[in-house]
Amino acid sequence: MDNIEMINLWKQYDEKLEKSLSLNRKIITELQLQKAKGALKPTKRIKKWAVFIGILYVIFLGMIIYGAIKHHASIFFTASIVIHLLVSVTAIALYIRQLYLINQIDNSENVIEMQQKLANLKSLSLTIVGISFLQMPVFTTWFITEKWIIEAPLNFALIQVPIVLAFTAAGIWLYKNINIKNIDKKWFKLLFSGPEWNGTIKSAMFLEEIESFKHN
Amino acid sequence: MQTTTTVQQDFVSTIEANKGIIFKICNSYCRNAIDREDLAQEIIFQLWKSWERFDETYKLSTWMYRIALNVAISFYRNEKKTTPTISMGDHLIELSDENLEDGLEANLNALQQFINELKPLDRALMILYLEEKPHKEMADIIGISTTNVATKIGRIKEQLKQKFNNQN
Repeated sequence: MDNIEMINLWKQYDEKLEKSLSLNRKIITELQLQKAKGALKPTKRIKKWAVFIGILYVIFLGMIIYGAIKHHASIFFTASIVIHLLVSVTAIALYIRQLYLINQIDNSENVIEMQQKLANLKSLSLTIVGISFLQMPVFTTWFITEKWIIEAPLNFALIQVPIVLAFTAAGIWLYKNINIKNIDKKWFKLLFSGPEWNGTIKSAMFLEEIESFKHN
Repeated sequence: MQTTTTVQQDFVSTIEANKGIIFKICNSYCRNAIDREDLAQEIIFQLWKSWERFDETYKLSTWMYRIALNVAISFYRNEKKTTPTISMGDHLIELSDENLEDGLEANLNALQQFINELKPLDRALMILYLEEKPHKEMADIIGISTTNVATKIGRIKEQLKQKFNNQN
């Protein structure tokens, strides 16, 4: 089939549709009414709730820090909660950025620009997970006390310090490596194997496809 | 100033005048009739959402293709609808039996199958090519340069030629 034949075939397809295709007016009117009701996408609603609960949680952490400082709690405990709070604030900020990007979505933009925005929006979830891993060592430090270090220095140095260092190294490594470049790695697939990650992973892969489409 | 009802009626008339575009895009991104129905509803919903922002200095077809293709690609990638569809027992798309001649129908099916096998962005380009859109408008809809459009169309046509040669 040459180009002319192909285009003629498509024109005949058009003529066929002109005769045989009709759209149900009643449904179009219903769709117009749906917009008037201001249908809010469920993902946007979930993210708004996540931000709201996240802010409450950060306030709660702030109160714990205030109490810890006031009652001269262990420096390890206070520092651990501060780190946890900073990571939580960053995650909330990224959630707010996602909400901002959702509001910026305009389907009438050109296809590449729009699809790139959408894919970026979804793959931002990977960044949030990466940042969350940075707080891994906190779960091995919050219960450390000065008394423990003084009374059992050998135990502390041989058991607790290596654990903290291992968690720190793992957290930094995951933060650096949770990105699209590692999508084919076994550990990555294991970490993001749930159905809730399918959309994010596909979006991240689609970003690569868009890049290749733009340049090849 | 137009009244709400006039605006709504203008929109419905525009959709009816361009129903072929919507159907062909839906058919190229969904082979399943239920998905096609959902996608058509989603496209019309998104077109209506953007209707009041439509800048009349731009071409209506460019605006329409951009929205329809963006919605179709997102729908195809998500494999699910993003807006609840309306189900009143009726269907948005109603097709009566109207077949082309046997040979033409077979060629059309083969062409449609070829389009469906392309990657989502190549698929968009191929639809615009078959609609005989000028390279400038295709570049504007897709968001790449006219040179890039020409190169890509050339490649897709080559693939298609090989495919048809293999079949015959």
